[in-house]
Amino acid sequence: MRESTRFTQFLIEELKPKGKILTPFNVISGITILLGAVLIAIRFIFGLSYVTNLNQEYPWGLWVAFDVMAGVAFSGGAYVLCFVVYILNAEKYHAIIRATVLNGLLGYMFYAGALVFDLGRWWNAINPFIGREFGVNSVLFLVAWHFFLYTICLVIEYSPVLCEYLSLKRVRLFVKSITLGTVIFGIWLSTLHQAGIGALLLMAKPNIHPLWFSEFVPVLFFVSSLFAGLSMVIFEGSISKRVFWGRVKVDREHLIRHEEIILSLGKACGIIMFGYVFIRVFDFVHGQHWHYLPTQYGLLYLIENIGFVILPMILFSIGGREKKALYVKIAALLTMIGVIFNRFNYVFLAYKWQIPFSMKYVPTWMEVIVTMSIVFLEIWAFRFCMNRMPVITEIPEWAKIQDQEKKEETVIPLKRKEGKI
Amino acid sequence: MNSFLGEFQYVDFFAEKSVELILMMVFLTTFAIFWKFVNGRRGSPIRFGTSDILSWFTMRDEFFYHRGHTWAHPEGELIRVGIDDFAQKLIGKCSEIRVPKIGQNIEQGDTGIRIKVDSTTIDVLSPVKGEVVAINDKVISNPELINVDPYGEGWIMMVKPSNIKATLANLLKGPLAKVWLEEQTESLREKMTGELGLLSQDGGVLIPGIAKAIDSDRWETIVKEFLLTD
Repeated sequence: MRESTRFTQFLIEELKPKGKILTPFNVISGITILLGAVLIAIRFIFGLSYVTNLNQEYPWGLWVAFDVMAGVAFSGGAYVLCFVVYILNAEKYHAIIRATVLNGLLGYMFYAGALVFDLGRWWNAINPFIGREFGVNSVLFLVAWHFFLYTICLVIEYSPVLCEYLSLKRVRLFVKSITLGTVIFGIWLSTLHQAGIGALLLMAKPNIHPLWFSEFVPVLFFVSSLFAGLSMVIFEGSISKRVFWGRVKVDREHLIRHEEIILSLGKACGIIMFGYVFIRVFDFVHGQHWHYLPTQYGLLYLIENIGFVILPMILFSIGGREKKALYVKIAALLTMIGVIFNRFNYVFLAYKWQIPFSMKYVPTWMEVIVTMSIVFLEIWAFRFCMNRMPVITEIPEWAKIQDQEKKEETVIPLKRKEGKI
Repeated sequence: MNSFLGEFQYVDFFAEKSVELILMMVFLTTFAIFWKFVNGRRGSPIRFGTSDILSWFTMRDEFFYHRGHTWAHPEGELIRVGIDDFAQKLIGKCSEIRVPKIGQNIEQGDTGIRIKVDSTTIDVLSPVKGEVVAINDKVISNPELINVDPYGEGWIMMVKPSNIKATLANLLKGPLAKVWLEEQTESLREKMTGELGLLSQDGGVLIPGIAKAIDSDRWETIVKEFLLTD
C-alpha cells in the first residue's frame, strides 16, 4: 500500500512541468493542440469532409503524406541505428541510440497513430487485428501489422530507460535480455514495411505521374527511409543540443561523441543518397521519360531531385570530408524537406496528373492545424522524456552495476571455458 | 497476347540494355571516386596510434614553447601568448576563458590563464613574466577560437615583459621544442593503450578532447599532468 502511494506521488510530482510554462513555444503549440483537438473531434463526429478537402478523387491528402509516409520514414533512424549498434557493434553510436529509439517510438505512436484520423470508417481499423476480415490480400494488412508489431518492438527497446526511470530493477534485467532479439525482429519488420508503404502506391499506377511511378517505388521508399531517418537523427541531435544540454546533466559519452557522430552520419547519408540518385536515374532512363521533363511535372521532378537530393548529397559529402558539422546540419534539413516533398508528390501533387493544377487537392487550414498539433504533441512527449528519463543523461548507479554484473556473468565463464582464467 | 502485354511496346532490346549497362558502369566508376572523395585524402594527418601521431599536433617553428603547453611569440617589445595545439586537442572544446586584467603582472610558470571545459576549470601556466597589455576580446567572447586556430586567431593576450631575453631563454624553440613535443606525444600514446578505437575511426575523425576519450572519469588528472598544474 505504502509502495503504491509512493509511486502515485512520484508520478504526480513528475507530471508537473519543469521549467517555465509560458514560453512562446508553449503558448503557440498549446493553442494549436487545443484547436487540433477540437478539429479531430469534429472529424470523428461529423466525418472527413467537414475538416478535409479529401474526396473520391483524392482519397489521400496531407495527413497520409506527411504523418504516415514522411513521419514513418523519419522514424526509420531507429532501425538503422539499432542495426549499426547492435548488429554491426559500432559502439561509437551507442551514445545516441536511446534518443533515436525514443524519437522512433514517438514517431510511430503519433504519426502512424494519426493514420486513424484518415480512415473513413475508422472503427474498422481493429479488424485486421481481431480477425473480422483480416484482409490478408491487402498491402495495408501488412502495413497495419508491421506498424503494430514494430511499435511493440520499439517499446521493448526503449523500456530499459523506463525501468531506470521507475527504478524497476528486475524488469530492466529481463527487457535487457530480450533486446537483441527484439532489435533483429524490429529491423526485419522495418525494412519490410518501409518498402511496404511504397508498395501501396504500386496499385495506383494510372494515377501517379510516370516520372514518379515505377516498379522500384518500394526500393526507393526503403532507401529513402535510410537517409530520411539518419537526417532526422542529425536534426534531432542538433536541436537537443541547443535545448537540453543546458538543462540536464548530459552523459559524458554523449557529450564527447556528439560532433563526431553527426559527421559520420552525414557521411553515411551522402553515400546512401548517391545510391539513391543512381536508382532514380536508372529508373528514369529505363522508363524512357525524357519527354516529360519540359513540362510542369518535369520541373517539379527536377526541383525534388536536384534541390533536395543531389544538393544535400553534395553538402553531406563535403561536410563529412571537411569535418564541417554546419554543412551536415543544413544538408539534413534539406533532405527532410526533400523527403516530405517526395511523399507529397506521390500522394497528391503528382497524383491524378491528368487533371489541371487548378482542380487539384489542396489541404484545408484545418488539415494543416491537425498535422501541426501532432508534431507539437510529439515534441511535447519527447521533451517530457528527455527532461526526466535517462535518455541523454547518465544512467543510475544501480543500472551500471547491473550491467557490469551481467557482463561478468557472460565474460568470465567464457574466459574460463577458453582456459584464460 | 496483346491484352496481356497491355501498353507494352516493343523496343530495341539491345539498345535499351546497352544504355543501362553503360549507366551501371558509370555509376560504379563515379561511386568509387565519390567514396574516395567523401572519405578524405589518404594519409590525412588526423590519425592515431601509428607513427604519424606526431603530425597530428602542429607546431610553429618561429614560436617559443613553455612546458605547460603554452606558446610565446615576440613581436617588438611585446610577446603574444596562447596555448598550443597539443593542449587544445587534449582538453577539447572550451566554453570559457578567464585571463588576468590589463595592467596586471604575471609570473612565468604561474597560473596565468583559466580555461573552462564543461563545468571544470583548468589552470594553464603563463609562459612569460610581465605586464598584461592587451587581451584578445574575440577569444573571450568565442573561446572555441583556441580550438579552431590556436596559433592565429586563438591568441589569448599580449604581455610586456620586464626582461624579454631572460623570459625567452627559459622557453623551448626549434629542434628542442620538437623533441619535447615528441616525448609528450609518446607519453600520451602510452596512456591510450586499449582505447585507440575510441579515438579514431577510418578517415580519422577529430574527437573533441583526447583526455576525455582516454578516461572520461579521470580526464582532469590527465590534463593537469600534461599542463604541469597537478
